[in-house]
Amino acid sequence: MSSRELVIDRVSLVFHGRGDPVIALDSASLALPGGGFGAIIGPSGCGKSTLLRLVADILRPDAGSIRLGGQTQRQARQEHAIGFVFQQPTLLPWRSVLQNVELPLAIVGRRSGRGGALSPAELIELVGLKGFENALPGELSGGMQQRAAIARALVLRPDILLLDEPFGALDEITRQRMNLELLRIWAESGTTALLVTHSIAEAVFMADRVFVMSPRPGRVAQTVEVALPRPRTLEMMRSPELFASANEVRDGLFGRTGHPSAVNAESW
Amino acid sequence: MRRLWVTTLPTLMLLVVLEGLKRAGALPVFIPGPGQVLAAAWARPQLLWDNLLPTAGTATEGFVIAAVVTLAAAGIGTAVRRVWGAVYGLGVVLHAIPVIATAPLLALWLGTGAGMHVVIVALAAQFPLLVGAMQGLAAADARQIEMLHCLSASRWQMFRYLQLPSALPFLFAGFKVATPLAVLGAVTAEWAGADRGIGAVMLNALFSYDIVTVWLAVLTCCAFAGLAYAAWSLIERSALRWNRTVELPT
Repeated sequence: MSSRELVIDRVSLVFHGRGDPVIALDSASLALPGGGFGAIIGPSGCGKSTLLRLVADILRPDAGSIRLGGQTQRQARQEHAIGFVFQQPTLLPWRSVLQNVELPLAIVGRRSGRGGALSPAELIELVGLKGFENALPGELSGGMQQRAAIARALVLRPDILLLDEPFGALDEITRQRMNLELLRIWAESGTTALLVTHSIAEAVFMADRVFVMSPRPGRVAQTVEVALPRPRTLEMMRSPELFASANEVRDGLFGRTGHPSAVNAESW
Repeated sequence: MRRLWVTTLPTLMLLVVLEGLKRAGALPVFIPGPGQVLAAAWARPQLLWDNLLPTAGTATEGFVIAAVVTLAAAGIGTAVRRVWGAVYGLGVVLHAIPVIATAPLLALWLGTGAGMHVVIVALAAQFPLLVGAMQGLAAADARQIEMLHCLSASRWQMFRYLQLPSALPFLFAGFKVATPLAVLGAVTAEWAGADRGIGAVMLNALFSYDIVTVWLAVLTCCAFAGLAYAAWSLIERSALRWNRTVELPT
């Protein structure tokens, strides 16, 4: 399956609200190789979600460029190369699970060739929702709804999968299990994945490359390479390599002295 | 079935109480007992049918026209944000004009035919339909809009897959409020000039002090509007099955 390299080059965005303009992102850059798994981590309000929305062409940057496999984000979106999983499942409540997963196919048109190697029914099985095809979203738990949203995001075989804290609303145990499943699905689909999170453990466990963001103005302060092999297992959560990477991320967030400058800036 | 009971019980009780009061001689002469009215309906079913059908037809026709026009207006108001307020403003002004006063004027202008009747029904029923359509088309969830934007959905697809289904609960609320107004509009229109129809029966009976027939016409209106309302509720229940599902805990 295809994947795309993602290059974000000195992207800036200013929000003009009612008060003073807010610099959401100031010259943020990152690079993620095709087929890789990246994680963006940072305190609330540092522009993580904003950066993801820029990649998905939901927002337009004021300056800088974004390239997905050499194309602009608009071209990539119009070619349906981007899959997006939101913080909330955002399923259409009047459509069944199967109909929700089929929605992107209905929008693109079945003749476009964008249809995946896996049919909607197979994707539903892949995310563990077999038997719930005809259930309405309101009849499912939050975790199951989010699985359906992941199946929907994969149905067009996206070259890049953007995940905005997809399991943020779930409890720790469900979340850990969903993360493992997400890694399995990502490995099978071969897509490039970029995950926004504010859990250090999650970022290091999931990603090959962790982008640490600092707030006000939002920018990518540090990139941490995670040296753990694939496939990742729960035992690796206790490995020294994971601790080393996690400490490196923690240093990037709080500074090596342990002075929580980033957190302070946020809480004030 | 239980629901039907709960919905109709207060009305039935009111009728029983009225009948009891009438038999006890506690009601004035211009309020007949429900039994008398029922007997009148039983005695002249043809009168009822011959006059209910044109009224029902006018009410339905005007309602459909008002629904189509307001949905189109709401569509324009939603698509072109600058005219949103103007569409609402026009709806409010049209709604504020008393139909009872405009009906004779429209009769002078359009004649007392079916065209005038339909226009008055549409005027009487338009506002709740407009409010339902305007609020409904604006009710689509912002995150769902982003989701469809990510899929590069066209404007039509956005309307078809998201905005219209999101609008349905609001549209149904509008339909239900507008239905009795359409019946009332049809009767008012017939007062301004008609040879047949429940409104015409009502007016003739009033002039000939035929109290029982006046009430027969009134109750026929109520029954027809009530049945139409019930029909909307049934359609709503089957069309909006998703709207009643409860979210389970994770």
